[in-house]
Amino acid sequence: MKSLVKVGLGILTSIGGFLEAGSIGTALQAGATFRYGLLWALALGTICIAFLTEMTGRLAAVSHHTVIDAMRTRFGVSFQVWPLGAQVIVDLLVLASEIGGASLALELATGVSLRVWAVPVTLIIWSLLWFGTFNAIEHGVALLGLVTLCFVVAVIELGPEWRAVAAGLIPQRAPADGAQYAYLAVGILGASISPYLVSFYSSGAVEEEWKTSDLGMNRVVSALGMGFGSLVAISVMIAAALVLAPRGITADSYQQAATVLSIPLGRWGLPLFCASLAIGCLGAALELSLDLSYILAQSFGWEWGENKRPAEEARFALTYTIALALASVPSLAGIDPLRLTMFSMAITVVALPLLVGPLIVVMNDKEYLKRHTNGFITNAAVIVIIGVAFVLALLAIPVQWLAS
Amino acid sequence: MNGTRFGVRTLAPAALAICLVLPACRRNPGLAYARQLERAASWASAVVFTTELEQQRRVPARFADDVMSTAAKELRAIQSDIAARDQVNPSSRQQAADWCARLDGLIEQGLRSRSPSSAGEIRDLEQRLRTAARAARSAEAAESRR
Repeated sequence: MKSLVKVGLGILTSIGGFLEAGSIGTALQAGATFRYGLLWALALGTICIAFLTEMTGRLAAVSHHTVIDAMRTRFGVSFQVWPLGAQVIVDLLVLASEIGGASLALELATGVSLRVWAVPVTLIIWSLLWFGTFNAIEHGVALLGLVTLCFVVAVIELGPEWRAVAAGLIPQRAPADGAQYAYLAVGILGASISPYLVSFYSSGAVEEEWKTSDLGMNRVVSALGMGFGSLVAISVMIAAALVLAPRGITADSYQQAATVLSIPLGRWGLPLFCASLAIGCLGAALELSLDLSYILAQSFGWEWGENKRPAEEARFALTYTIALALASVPSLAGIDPLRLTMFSMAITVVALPLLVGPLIVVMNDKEYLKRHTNGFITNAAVIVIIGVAFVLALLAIPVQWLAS
Repeated sequence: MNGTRFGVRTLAPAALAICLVLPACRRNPGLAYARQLERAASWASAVVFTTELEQQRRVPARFADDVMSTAAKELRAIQSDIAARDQVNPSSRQQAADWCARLDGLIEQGLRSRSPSSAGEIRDLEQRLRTAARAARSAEAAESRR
């Protein structure tokens, strides 16, 4: 019974925590511009992140190592610098997008500029990290994130043509604006395969002291949690395809996209959109801040753990404090959060091989995984998806930037 | 040492790939121009849609004002960007810049008077921008085929 509750809670938190600035922003733009044409990218990204989280949970349960910790002991510190540097940059950019997204949600709800909201939002995130525990943060915010299920309700209310939706799950020939299509596909993959989710998941598993007996739960939570979570992102894309695309609204900014729920949900649409964006971004910002502390602490061998008091792990707490201060700067400068998000997602994909490659090596090492090393399907699926995303990013990003 | 070797091995192919891809990406003035026209049309459509939602009491007036003031600001930026595009035919870019200026004026007027009477004209300008964007895209496609 206890393990069933654990599985249920794990799935619920995955669903509630799935939507954040990246997944909302990319799904809105993709749906508004190409309708269902990019659903396949979301499905592909979900398969990949489900495999990756399962792998890192397995690593933590069997070896009691986090991903970063295992990579450091397997390859040495001089190697660790490369993936660590890449992940710090990616995490900081995405954290800035999340702070921007939460601040903009408050601007949409109140009419007060996001520049004004950037400081209170950053302080709220910092306070939750300073005073909260890992479980309170992970489960509390993610359960609040279940508000994002309003997108699923909206889609049911809108009643899409399901055959057309299903057709979107198969990659099609790029339409006229191929560069934008590929760029959005890259953005969706970057939002789905977030490196911070992988290292955060494994750090959480070590904090919660998972054992080999938790492997079954890990598999169910990774597959069902990510699967159901992606249904919410798919709903965002479908809602944008049904409400914004027919009106020629391309969702260039959150102001344009905020009305996406107002047709199916009436006067509740705008408040629910703002709540989804704010809570989704807040949850992701908490996870990202913690992840930055986790990866630096695990790389340099500092004391770490969100369940410890800040005085017991001063460098861990100092890291997220500095990270939050740095990440609030773009919002204070008034940079458009959606543009920053799209940029961050593209950079994420470029950095993915550097972050995932070494993990695949560790996951095939019997010293860490004993008899639980990766099988052929897991290796092949992750390598192919990351390879496709990387090539797509190398082709699409320069073309898109030169054309815009 | 191993780490440095790994870094060189990983980054060198990536740098090579970028060097191979970049020269293939020539600047595309027609496509960029078409996208700016579509952005302007999208803002026009967003303003009309939000105004309709406000009349139906589905969104508050404060939000509609926020959308309209952001749209006016964005349209001014698009207008100056279009006007500065030397590689586009001067008469068509002047016309597009004028449409953006007219849209900006109508939205500002709507913000001041809180009257939806200009919705028809905004829709008309939106359609003109979309037609011009389609023409720019077709011209660009014909150019690339040549």
